[in-house]
Amino acid sequence: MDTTIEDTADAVRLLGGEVLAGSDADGADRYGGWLLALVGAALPDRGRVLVAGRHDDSLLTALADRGLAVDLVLRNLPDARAARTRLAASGVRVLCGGLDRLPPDGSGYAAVIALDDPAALYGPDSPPRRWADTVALLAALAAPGAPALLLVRNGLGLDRLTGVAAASDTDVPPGLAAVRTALAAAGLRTGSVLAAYPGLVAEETALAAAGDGVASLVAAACLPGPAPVLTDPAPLARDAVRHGLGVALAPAWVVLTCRADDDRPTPTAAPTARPGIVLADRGVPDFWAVPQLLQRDADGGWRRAPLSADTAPRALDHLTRDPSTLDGPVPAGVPLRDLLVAAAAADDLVTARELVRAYREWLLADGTDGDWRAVWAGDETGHGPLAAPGKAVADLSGVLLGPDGPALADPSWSTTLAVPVDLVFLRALQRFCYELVAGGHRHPWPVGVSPDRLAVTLAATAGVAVSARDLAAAAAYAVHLDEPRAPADGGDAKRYAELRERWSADPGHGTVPPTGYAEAVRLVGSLTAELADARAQIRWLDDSVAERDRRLGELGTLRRSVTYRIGYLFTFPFHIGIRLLRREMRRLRS
Amino acid sequence: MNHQNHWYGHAHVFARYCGLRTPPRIRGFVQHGWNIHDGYGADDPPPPGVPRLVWSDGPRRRGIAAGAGNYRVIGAPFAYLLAMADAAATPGATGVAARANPGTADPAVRATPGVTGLAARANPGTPGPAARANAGTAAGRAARPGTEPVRRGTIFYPFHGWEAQAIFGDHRALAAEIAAREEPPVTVCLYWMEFRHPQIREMYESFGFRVITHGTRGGHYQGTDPWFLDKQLAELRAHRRVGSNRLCTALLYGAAAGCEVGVYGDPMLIENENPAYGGNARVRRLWPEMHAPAVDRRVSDAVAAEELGRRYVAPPAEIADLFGWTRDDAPAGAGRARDEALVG
Repeated sequence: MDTTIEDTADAVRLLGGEVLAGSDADGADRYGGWLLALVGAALPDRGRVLVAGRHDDSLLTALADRGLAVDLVLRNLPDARAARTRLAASGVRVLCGGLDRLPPDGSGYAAVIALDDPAALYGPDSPPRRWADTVALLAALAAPGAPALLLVRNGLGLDRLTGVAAASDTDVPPGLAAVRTALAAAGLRTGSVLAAYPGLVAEETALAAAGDGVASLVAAACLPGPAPVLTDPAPLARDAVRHGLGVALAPAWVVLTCRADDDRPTPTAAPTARPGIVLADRGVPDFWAVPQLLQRDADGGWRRAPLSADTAPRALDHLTRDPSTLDGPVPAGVPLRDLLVAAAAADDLVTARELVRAYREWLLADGTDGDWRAVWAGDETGHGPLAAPGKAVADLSGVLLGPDGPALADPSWSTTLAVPVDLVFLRALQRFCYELVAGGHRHPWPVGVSPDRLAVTLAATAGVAVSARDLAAAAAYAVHLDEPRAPADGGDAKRYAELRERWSADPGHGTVPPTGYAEAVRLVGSLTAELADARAQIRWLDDSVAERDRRLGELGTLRRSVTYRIGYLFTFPFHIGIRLLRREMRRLRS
Repeated sequence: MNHQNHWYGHAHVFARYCGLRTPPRIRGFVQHGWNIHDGYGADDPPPPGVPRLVWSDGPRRRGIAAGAGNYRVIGAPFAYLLAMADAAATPGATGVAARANPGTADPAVRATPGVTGLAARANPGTPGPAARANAGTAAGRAARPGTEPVRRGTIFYPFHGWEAQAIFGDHRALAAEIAAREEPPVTVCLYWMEFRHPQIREMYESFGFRVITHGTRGGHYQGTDPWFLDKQLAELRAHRRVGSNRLCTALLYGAAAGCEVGVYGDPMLIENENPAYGGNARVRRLWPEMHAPAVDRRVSDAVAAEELGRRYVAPPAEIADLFGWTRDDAPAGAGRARDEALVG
């Protein structure tokens, strides 16, 4: 194995068909070393492995750490040079060019891994190739009987169902059965098939009888990004899993295959008899991420364990994370956020009130009284019930409501800050209300309500009155809390804090346009209904004012009536008396 | 939003529940009586766009089915009164109001000191029939928090008309039936209009009944008795049974206040009834179990709890937020201090 670090472009072997400029790095998450928790057993322990296309560095270093020689093929030269520099220490050999230019490696690779889009394996110098041809090419590169790990896009996956730009893909086989047939035609025998969601890969059997807990995990993996979609994929993902379609509707499949020209056993994923799900733990910088393997228990529950043996606590600023707490049974239950979204959609305010109260009571349950200093804003000090360090970090998505009451979904996070319970409570509500409004979810409150205003209403359901200062403090706390683990742009908490300035100045800015078309259409419907109501109300108020004007006018004619005049005549001396008395009083006072 | 919110002192009950002395304007239209329609009079629907604050889910469902919207089920004002009374009766406070408002002084305790005394203070100008009716009753005794009143006899509410609709029926025959069925003492509670008729009053009195009224309903913010419901609750709690010749609001109040329920006698006719309601026959079809001289307590408790929306009772802060009773609805804007909420 070559362990010399050569930071030169020459160290990249050119195959022909290279793309000389630009980059294929699109910022998307790629499959990393965490995937090996499920597929590692199918890979050999020695020999040379081909990795074709873009993958996370952690996958390549993990393969190298197993003692495998790794060949990485990228079509783009700047990407290949950068990869060479990054991966030099691990001894990964980087080759650049079209996959079709890769010469056979003697007797063939001991394993082939291709988890990138097949189109990204060739440059414009190569003629376009169909999916089946690429598979055949990869199969030909593998040694007889060697495993090949392939990513197959699902032509009818959730991303295709919810994407605005997704067109029908006739290149990939229609459905899993057709994939198996096509692979067989390419000389590959299919073993395990894994459902591949962003940051989550699950064995077929793990999703087959998954409960609400796993459905929520898959939904969380499908949260929509900033790009427009037809509809929010997360609820669809949850329903897919609950209806037993978690594999059929996965955006892609990771298929374990091997060359059929050998009678060695077909590679399967499961290292043990227990079906597993592997979580990449996306959404936080690598420093914090704790990829985990979830496996079904003998009694139908789930157990989880961090993939890395290094479970030493991590700390940065006030935030700490202890991966060792993630080793054990997965708490059962559904995230409070999902329950509250469902209650709002069903107009069920009694349940919403109960959920908010349950959350607050849970926060107060093991809170201790103590002093706090608002390092997040203004350095104010105070005394009162403080939230437990773990609970202070979690928002409503991170709290599961199970049969034994609320529990932390991820107890590994904690903060050294002393935070009042009410601030934690309000920050969680703000966050939830923002997701509710921005997600375009149906809710019973006025359309166009700002998340801050909605947070006030929700806090009131637990009997908590919230002031404007509290709202600002909660937003500042959210920013401070997330600072150590936020992405470079500051993250959601920072965006929220900036947005609320606008809402405060003009409540009309409350409506955050949803990215889902279905949600937007629903919002337009609600706004139209509200506008019609408002117009009708204006008309009604206008009529009421006109009617009152008329009655006031009638009062004006009273003085001209005969009755008034007769009455005035009789009471005239009295009027004069009062007037004189008043004048006298004024004189005396001055 | 509408003067009907003040009828029977409903707005005042909510105000006291939220710890306020007088009710600010309510942003919305509170259902003013038990209703088998969409929560409101078929001839007098709320203005468009105004939040419909109804007692129970039935009116909401009927309203939604008829194309109306903007409903919020909050429970009846009487349910709030009961919540306050419960909270006051339980020192150490596990009641709704007390639990919901841990930070501030318990509004119920602040709001309900000795019912009769405050009523007189709050309503100095109008002794009227209410004060007369209340003189020498069990009300004061029953209203004292924490003491389970001695319940005796029956309170009967003959079906009443109102300012715009008269009633046709034979009060004498009804009185005779009450006398035949009920053990004395019997109290007959009349609507204030009927109470003003000496003939009707004296007719009931001739049967040995005590005749009272709970006060005036009010209209256009004038003549409302802010303690109407408190008086009614006190009277109900002083009786073992509550009766009427129709299933009506007062009967449900009685059931919720712990009385046994009886519905019997000529249901009488109301002038010019809107066909949208379906008549009393519809009420009998919907709640046949509630039409008996002595209704099973479990049945009447369940029906009253549902129709008065007791499970929908919201904490004071939520009511203040919903009614627009906080200092300012919108979160703080530039240069405006809105830190102190009016409520909470």
